[in-house]
Amino acid sequence: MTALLSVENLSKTFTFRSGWFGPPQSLDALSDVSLSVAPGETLAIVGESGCGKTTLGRCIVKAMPVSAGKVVYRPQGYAPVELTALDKRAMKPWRRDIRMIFQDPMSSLNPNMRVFDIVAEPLRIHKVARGRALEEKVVEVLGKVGIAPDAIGRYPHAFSGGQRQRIGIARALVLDPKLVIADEAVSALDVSIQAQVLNLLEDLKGEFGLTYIFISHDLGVVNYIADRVVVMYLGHVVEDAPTETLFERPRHPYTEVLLEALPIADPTRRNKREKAVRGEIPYLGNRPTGCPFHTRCRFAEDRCRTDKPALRKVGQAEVACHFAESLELKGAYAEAPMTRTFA
Amino acid sequence: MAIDALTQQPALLRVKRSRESQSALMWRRFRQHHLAVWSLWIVVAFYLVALLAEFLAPLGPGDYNPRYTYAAPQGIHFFSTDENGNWQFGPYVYGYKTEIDPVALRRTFVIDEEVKIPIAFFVPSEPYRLAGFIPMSIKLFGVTEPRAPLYVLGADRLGRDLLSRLIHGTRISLSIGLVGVVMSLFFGVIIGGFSGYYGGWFDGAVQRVIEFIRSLPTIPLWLGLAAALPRDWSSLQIYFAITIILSLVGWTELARVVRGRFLALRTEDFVTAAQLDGASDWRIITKHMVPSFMSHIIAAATLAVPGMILAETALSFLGLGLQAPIVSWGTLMQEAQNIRTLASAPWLLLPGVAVVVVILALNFLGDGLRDAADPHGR
Amino acid sequence: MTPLTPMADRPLLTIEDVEIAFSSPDEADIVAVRQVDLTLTPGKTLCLVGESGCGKSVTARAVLRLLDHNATISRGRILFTPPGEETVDIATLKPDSLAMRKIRGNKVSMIFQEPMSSLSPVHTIGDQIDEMIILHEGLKPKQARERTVSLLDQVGIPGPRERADAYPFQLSGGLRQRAMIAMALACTPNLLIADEPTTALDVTTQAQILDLLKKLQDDYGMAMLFITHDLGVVAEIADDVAVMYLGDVVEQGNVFDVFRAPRHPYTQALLRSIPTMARKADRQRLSPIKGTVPSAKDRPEGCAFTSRCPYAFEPCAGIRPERTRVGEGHTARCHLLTQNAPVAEAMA
Repeated sequence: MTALLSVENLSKTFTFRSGWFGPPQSLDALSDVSLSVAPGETLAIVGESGCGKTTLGRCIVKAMPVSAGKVVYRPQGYAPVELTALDKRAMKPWRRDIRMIFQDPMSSLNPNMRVFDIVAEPLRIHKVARGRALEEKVVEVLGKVGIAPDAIGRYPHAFSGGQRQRIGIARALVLDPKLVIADEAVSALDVSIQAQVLNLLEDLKGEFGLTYIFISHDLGVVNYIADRVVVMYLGHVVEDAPTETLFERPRHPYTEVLLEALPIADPTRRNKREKAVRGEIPYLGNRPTGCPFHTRCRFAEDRCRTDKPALRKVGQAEVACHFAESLELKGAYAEAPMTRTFA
Repeated sequence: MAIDALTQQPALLRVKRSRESQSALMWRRFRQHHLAVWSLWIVVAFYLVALLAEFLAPLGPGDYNPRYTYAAPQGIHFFSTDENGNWQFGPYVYGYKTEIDPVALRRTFVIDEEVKIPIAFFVPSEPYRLAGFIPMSIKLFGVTEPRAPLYVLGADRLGRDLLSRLIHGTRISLSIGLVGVVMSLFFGVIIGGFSGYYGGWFDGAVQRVIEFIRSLPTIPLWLGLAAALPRDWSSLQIYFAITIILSLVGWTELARVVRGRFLALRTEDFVTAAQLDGASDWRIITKHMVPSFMSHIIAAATLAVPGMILAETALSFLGLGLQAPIVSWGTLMQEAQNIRTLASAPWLLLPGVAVVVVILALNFLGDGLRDAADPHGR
Repeated sequence: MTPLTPMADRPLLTIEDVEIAFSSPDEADIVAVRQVDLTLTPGKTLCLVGESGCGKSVTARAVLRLLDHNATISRGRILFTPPGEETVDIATLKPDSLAMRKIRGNKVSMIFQEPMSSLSPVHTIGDQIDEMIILHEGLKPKQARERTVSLLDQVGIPGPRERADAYPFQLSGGLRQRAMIAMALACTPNLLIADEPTTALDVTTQAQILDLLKKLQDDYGMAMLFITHDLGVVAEIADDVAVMYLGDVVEQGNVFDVFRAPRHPYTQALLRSIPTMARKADRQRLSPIKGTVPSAKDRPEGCAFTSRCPYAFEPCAGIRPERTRVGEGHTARCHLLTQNAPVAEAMA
């Protein structure tokens, strides 16, 4: 199956000066990132802070220019479009297809606009509908995300965090998009609300035939929602595998460490951390040479310090590790998870 | 059923509160700031005085009467006793009698409690145009006897009524503050907006220019510019020239506020969301950004008005701002420059009191607006 | 440094029936915490878990009397019994009294979610810890620095002697949190209150900090009151757990019991709404709790969970449920547990 969207050798470098006359400095937020998402798939991008997952999301939607590489969108029935080569005007029609859901439901809705206008804004910008048709469309989409029609005259501050996130989702969906990029869309929500929004995202996916790129740091949520997972570390893709493969048998030592550090809501599985991660994520500015993870990797050898491993196919996964084939790494699934009795 | 009632009620409450827009919320927060609310009324009262100056002032700003130079304030009395000792209501002022100071051999006016001059409301007057538009020939109050003196707050060197001059001066001083701020706002919003939205080298250059202007000592700058105005300009020309001079410095502060808000908003998610909607820059600025900081601009502008008023007063006081036929608080205070006049006619300092009251009120009002606009800021 | 002998039978801190109310000039008082009973024993960790706004942080701050000025402990007792000392009721002490200041920092320490807010940005971390030690233990500066360096070493800061001269902003988030833990341990407290200490950290760093806290607890034998919203973290670190909802502790008990057999509908719903680490085949659709958390103003007189509870029935809204014992040291506040309601079967 051809990919709906593919990212090819994408790099993003931030340059800045310290002070007016300071020497220019640069940070490589993304180096040579390649990935693709198939139609109907939910692709998760996971990693810790500074891994570049948010930057990647913003580069895909062209919220910021890229330094190298390209993003190619392949709409059904059209020739592939290289989004990174388009100017603002040429990009505009494709903005209907590729939409974004933001992390912070507080800051992503304009506090001075009523809910109706917030959701109608994309329709007005793209001149899709007006008058009655516009009203009906807005009410319909808001209904789909569970916001009652009598609430459309309110301002965002009158809603709880979960409801605001629903409004953000409605805004993303009102243009009938093909691809939705959800940047930590449930991270700021309380668990009970998070579950509501996750279910909603799943339902909408089926109903609208959506493809998701789900950016998150929470592996529990990712295991629940994603079909495939891309693990990033310091701007590199270190592993790209189907969800179950990745959680069952990770191939990259960093993936294993992430899975092991994940707190699981099951006290019988505690204290299983034998391979606790060493050290901390290095500052992006002085990224290690060779494999970016070698400073914290328990398997690191001399080769890792000098040679940068490329992504290559190992089983069902693509892994950037010199020893991916030989390592026996531990997954996250329990042999016998605790049974809960709800009585 | 009990549960239904429970879940329904808060929902209803919520609807009521939530229909409020940001500005309604801001107004609610502002009202909790009692000092600011009082200040608002004071400011409104002063601007009303400025608007209705001709109607409120019993005399024209230039009406003089050499018979009453430096006449002391009469004050207004409301109750009198008639010959039988009965109380009577009706405002009146006392007349004057002349005394010769035996030491200085100078004529002074003392209040003569024997003479009562009644005051009437809505007395007919010479025809005039209120605020330059509405033809009227009636004043709020005045004396009915044709040549009776009325100096509620005293008279100056030429026997002009200080109260009337103060009222007319209010119009000039307050309007200079307002017009100056509007002009500063115009430059400030445009330059600061460009600077904040596009950033880059333009922003850097604008910031350096602002820093340069702000590092100039303002009083000498104003003095230099004011002194350069041609002598033969009409008073109206001078008036506008002075406002422009004042706003030349004033715009920098507002430009900084606008730029700061733009910078802060540019990284807000809802602005990014609008960009991802494909909205044009113009739409993003006018629909998403400007409404979000309008309240901040209003607060900043309010806080800039007192500076303008003070600057005009200072310039005029030094004799370099507005010139004699124009009456402003600054030119009025020029009269109080001389210590000897002050000793004999201390009421000439009253314009200073007006300045202090208005400046304080505007500052409190601005603070209140700023806190209401940005309750979590600072 | 000899570990204190844990006295498991004697509670270190007992919170009895505590209610905390917030007053505001133009609205009615808001009762943020209604009826909290907790017991902490030396060497054990009690996790206070709940969603935002449930009052868990307020409860913890009340123990140190660090509440805002408009908050009052309107009912109940907070009994603190340091080893070998008399019991004091913290609820009756003045927040800035000498007695309270002696407890704060000396016997009870606190660590926060954002270390930057509690570390001074203009002093080196070494100086800040030195000062704590000098103030509370009267050591000389030189000796204090030795203690500081050994503390920093204990909390796993590499190169402790050099890092002691670093300013907080020069450290990463994880190291900063470690420095704050070192500071909290400077006076070997009997009780450590940790308010979401790992929420702002990445998962790998979080795992390191949790391991560190467990190790330090073993070394020092202190009791720990751990506040979090993350049930995964609770499962990881707690001995006992208390689940809070809108100001009420709805269920508490041993963490294994509560996670295996939750008895309060809220605890059950909470556990059902987090994704389990399961294979696709075993994966179940999440069952979220309907609706949203009402504000404390709109809370019913009875059980706070009434408006969202699938089993709510007659007495729930009006009568506050009693604490019911459902197992060894395991209690829950729910009418279903006391009354023979018809819905009780539906719940099973």
